[in-house]
Amino acid sequence: MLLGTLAVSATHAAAAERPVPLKAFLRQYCSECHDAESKKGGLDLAVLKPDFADAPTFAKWVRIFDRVHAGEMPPPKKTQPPAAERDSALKGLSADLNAADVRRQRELGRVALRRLNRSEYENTLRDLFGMPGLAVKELLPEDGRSDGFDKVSDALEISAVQMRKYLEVADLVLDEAIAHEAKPVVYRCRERLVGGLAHFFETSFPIIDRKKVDLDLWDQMKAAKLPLREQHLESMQSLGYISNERESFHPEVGAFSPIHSGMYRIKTSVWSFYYKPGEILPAERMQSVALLASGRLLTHFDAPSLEPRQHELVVWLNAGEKLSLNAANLWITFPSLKKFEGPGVAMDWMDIEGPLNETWPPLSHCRLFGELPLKRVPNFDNKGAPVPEGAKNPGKPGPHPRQPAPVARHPGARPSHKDGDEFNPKRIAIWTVESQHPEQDAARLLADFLPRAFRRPVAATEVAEYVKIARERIAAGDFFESAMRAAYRVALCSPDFLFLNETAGTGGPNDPALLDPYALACRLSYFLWNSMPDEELTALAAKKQLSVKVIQEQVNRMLADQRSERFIEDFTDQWLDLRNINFTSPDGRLYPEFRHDLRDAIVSETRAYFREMLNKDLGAAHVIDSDFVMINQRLAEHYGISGVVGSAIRRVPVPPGNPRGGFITQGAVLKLTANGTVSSPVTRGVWIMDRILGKRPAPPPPDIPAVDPDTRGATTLREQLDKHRNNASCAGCHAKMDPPGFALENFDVIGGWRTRYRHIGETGDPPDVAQFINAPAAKKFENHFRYGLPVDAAGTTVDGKPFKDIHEFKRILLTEQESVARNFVQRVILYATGAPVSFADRAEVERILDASRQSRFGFRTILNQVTQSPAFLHK
Amino acid sequence: MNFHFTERRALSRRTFLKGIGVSLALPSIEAMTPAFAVAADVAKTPRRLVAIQTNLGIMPHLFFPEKDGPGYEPSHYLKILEQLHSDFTVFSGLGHPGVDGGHANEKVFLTGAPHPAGAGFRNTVSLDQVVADQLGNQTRIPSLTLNVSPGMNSSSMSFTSAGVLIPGEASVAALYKRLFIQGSKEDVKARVDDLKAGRSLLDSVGARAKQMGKAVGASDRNRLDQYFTSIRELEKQLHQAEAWEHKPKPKVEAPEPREFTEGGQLLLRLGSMLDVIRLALETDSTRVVSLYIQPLGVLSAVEGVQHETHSLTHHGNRPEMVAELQKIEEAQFKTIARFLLALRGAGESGASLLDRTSVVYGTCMGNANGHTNKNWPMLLAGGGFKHGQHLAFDKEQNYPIANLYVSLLQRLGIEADKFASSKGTLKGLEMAG
Repeated sequence: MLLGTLAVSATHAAAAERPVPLKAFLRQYCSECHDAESKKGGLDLAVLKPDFADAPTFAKWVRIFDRVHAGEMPPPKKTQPPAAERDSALKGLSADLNAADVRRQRELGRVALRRLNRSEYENTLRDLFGMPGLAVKELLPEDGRSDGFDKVSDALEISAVQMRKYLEVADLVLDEAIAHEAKPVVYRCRERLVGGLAHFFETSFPIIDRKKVDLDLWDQMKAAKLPLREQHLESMQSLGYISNERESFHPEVGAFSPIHSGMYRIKTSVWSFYYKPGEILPAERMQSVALLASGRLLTHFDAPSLEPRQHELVVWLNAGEKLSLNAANLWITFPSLKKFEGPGVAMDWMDIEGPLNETWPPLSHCRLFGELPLKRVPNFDNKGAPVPEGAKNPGKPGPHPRQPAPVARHPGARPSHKDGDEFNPKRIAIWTVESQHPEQDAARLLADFLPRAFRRPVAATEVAEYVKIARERIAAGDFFESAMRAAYRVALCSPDFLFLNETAGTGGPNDPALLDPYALACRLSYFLWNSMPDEELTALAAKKQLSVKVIQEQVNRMLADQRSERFIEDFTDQWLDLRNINFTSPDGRLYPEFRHDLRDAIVSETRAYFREMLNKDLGAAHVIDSDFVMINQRLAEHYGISGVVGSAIRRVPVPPGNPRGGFITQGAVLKLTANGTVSSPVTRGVWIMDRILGKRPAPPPPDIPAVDPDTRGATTLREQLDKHRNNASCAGCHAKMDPPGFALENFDVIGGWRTRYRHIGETGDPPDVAQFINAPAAKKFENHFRYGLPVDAAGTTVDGKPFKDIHEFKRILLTEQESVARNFVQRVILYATGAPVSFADRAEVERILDASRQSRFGFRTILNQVTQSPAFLHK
Repeated sequence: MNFHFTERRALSRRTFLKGIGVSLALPSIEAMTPAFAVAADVAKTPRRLVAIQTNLGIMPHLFFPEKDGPGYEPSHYLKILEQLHSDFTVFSGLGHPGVDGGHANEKVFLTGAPHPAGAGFRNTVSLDQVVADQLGNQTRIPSLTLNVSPGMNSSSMSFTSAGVLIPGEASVAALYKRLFIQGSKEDVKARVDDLKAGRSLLDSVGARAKQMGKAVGASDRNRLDQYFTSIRELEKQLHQAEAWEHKPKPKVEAPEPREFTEGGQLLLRLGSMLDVIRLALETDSTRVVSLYIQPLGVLSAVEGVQHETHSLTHHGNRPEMVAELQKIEEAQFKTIARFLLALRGAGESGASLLDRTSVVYGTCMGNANGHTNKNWPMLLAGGGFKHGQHLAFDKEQNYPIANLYVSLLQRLGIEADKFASSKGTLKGLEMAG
């Protein structure tokens, strides 16, 4: 049967060259189980044709190759082939598979036309229009993923749902980009209040001379009506508060909420203290406050003890957002100032100014309308006569181009009409661009815009198509702005904008899939900036200067640029699953110390560490272990490292004996592999196998009983799993994936070190109050949790190496640096090119590994090697 | 907390007959025009589907009844639905074969695509979209894809035939506006102009895609074909939407509902959302609804609840955590019960709205504490099935949920004998007339 099939396939060119041993090999060692009757594992060799042009069939042959090559097939119980016979058979198969894959890549390219994913789409719009905080990603449907990455062409589908959203978003973006006013409307204010008037003299209170609090006044005002409290706002020196954000206390700053999206300057003066009834005393540690815009973290400001520190930040705010200044280090409290003892923070003032436009109209507008002047669209009175500007009765607008929808802001938000005419919606005149020569202007503006938007030169005939759209609207009597808008909207929804159209063909017939310079520039920029190329990169492409050396220079320049933070974030989100960091919230009773300051710090740590690895060309060993960590004060406290002050992440040596260093013992990784209540060694083990070693275990077979976690303290999850594992059919896989998880048992669900499990129950020791940073003096922890059963972090790896804890396990794992590096190379190739490593790419992966071996698989070296590899340079 | 409107129960045919003191067999009164009209209306009355998933599980020990068959003893939660006893069927032992992966399986509740946590997972079409393809052109809105989520995000459990997620609407006010607020003549004109502009844009980009398709290789062309198909599909949708714009929107007495934006008010929002869904069905604005309830990260404003819902679901069998979670789940069942009762109370052409509307309610977690994906708590209310029973299947070797979906498709008059992993209709679930 099997022979027959193979003989028939001789018509196939590749099959004709197949060395004889494979046929014999398969018949002798495989066909007993993989025949038409048994079809073990779903494989029937009798019907599997060597049709390598067919993708699913090709994939099956690759799987056969891999399983035999790894020695997993034939299974140990069956007759084993002599090594020479096996190698010969595999050599032939490998050559065939490689030839078929190379041919596919030459003819079709490694990567099919790829749609921008929603991060790339958003960033491209941001860079195209110079609006760095434009937020449209969430308006689009979530992208398909492959291997955890949203970069893979095959998984980035497009549908009517998406198209409809692209239409909507194009309109929103144009609304934001186009200027509708004569001049920028800048708002300046000084805010004094945090948390609203209702909390003034409750959770927040005035501080006198940074020394005391007037408790009599506090008593008096607590009972007074809100307007009476308000009079103390202006006269107060500093505002103190002593609770983290809670359900009933939102630390919103004043009433400010921008009408216009844009850059804003925020200055503030903050400090900290220790409170005893009526008294302001020195703080026990440096505190910090988090500045957020509607939940979006902007930064942390350090607040030193009794010494005001001024901070300044220029940042993008979206219209309608609210600023808040959260005392992120503090506990949630419901204080009475007569009794409370504990830490607090103070704000003297916060100054806000913006939007800051260096030029008017803003860059976004100029990208669309160049230097064309703006002109007022007249309003009309009720008799239909135009109303002059500044008239008492503003009249009603006549016909005008589309205006942005009014911004949804909370009631009482400032600026409002009270802050001046320019903020009074009724009195704001509509302005629009004026063109004396609409057709010429349309042609000129589109010839400038389209190459930028499409990231390549655009032929005159293509530009003409868009000019036609505008011309028809102009001829129909539309505003110039509206006519141009119609053309721009088409451009933003066209396949040229939405897809990465990677043109090949500059390599000639010998190298048909070689990317042209513009496509190569895009590869680089979508890899390292998640967005379109900038002018320098485009200019290099235009001059055909993207040589190996220049690419390397560009990689260095691009990684030094702020935009590379998008790569750092996006890649760690996907490679290490950081995007799942908030998927569970730790149980507040078991982990009362977990607050947003810690959550933000653990994410920053992993990103900063990855950045440091790239900057210093650190390699695979540093994935596993390291003699330094990237931490701030809160994280240092969490990790038991002393001498780190302030919220900024910095490089700190790991003290001797401390288990930290490397990704696998970072708080973020430990948290995202746990569920908020318990951590499962299996989940953590699988994560290390998959994300770090690149050896993703097969999913569990169906119909296995699940473990029902129990945190009452009588049993540990590890014990529960042991019973489950004793089942013979489970043991094989669990022997591989559990040990790495056991080694991490000393880390709890928030990444803290533990020697005993926390549980809720009556037995065991209560925690020591001193272990909790910033806990108010009267805070009791007996009702929170108790320490129960001891942790067992020992285990034996699948190849029989015993370890007693994480230190020993790391040493074992350090022998697998090459696997760690290979995994990184494979995932970088996938991320950078939009297609996973295929059979023909494998040799290139090994070449990159060889080339980076001298740097001990340094990540920067690998990154550079990838950008010079055929996979990167070809379609 | 909920908004109210007057109950409009249509005069049923039986009531009518009783009223005039006639006890003839029904066919013989065919000559009576009014009665005949009513009978015909019943046959013509559309059938509908509402699919609801709550994604963090329902505690199994409080949901599944012990005995099976019609004489089953209601479980703790099912007692909340007691008044509806003969209007629903509860299932046990249902599951989607091959669907595993903890939370990942929430996205296949309506699709049944296997191994949603796998590396190369691709989703498939959801049940509601199969229905929308068949019936969507009959109504103003082909289908409603909704969610009740803490951040008012765009999550949903509906997927196109290409497996693309359809963003869900989270705002009750926006939904109400879309369904019932007509706006001025200018508003309508602006909407029509907008739709026209959209179609003309699609013409342009479609032409460009065709042109581009000539210059690229086969695999690129496949991607462009997908783009082109999307354009065609959207064009059709915009065309239909435009036609509907020329017909006035239905008027309802219920005022625009209040928007509950706080995460803790999730259950209030669920109530509001269900009220608007009922209005949408009553006015025949749509016939297919998918509603995805996602209480992740929510500290529910239910009395006695102090913990975030997701943490509670990982209760580790601690009694006080279980008790808190139970309070939330009870409140949610009460909200669902109110919805079902309201559907039963609303009539159209002699039938209750519930009898014409299949409501699926369930969750993808057999037991959220252990993240198990077997034995999904599920129930089906209304739709014109013979109810009042507990259909029990094997709790280990689960019976495919997709069989239930085939039964629902057939009930909706859609000729289907397969969906996802199904092997036919659901054993023991029979249509009532």
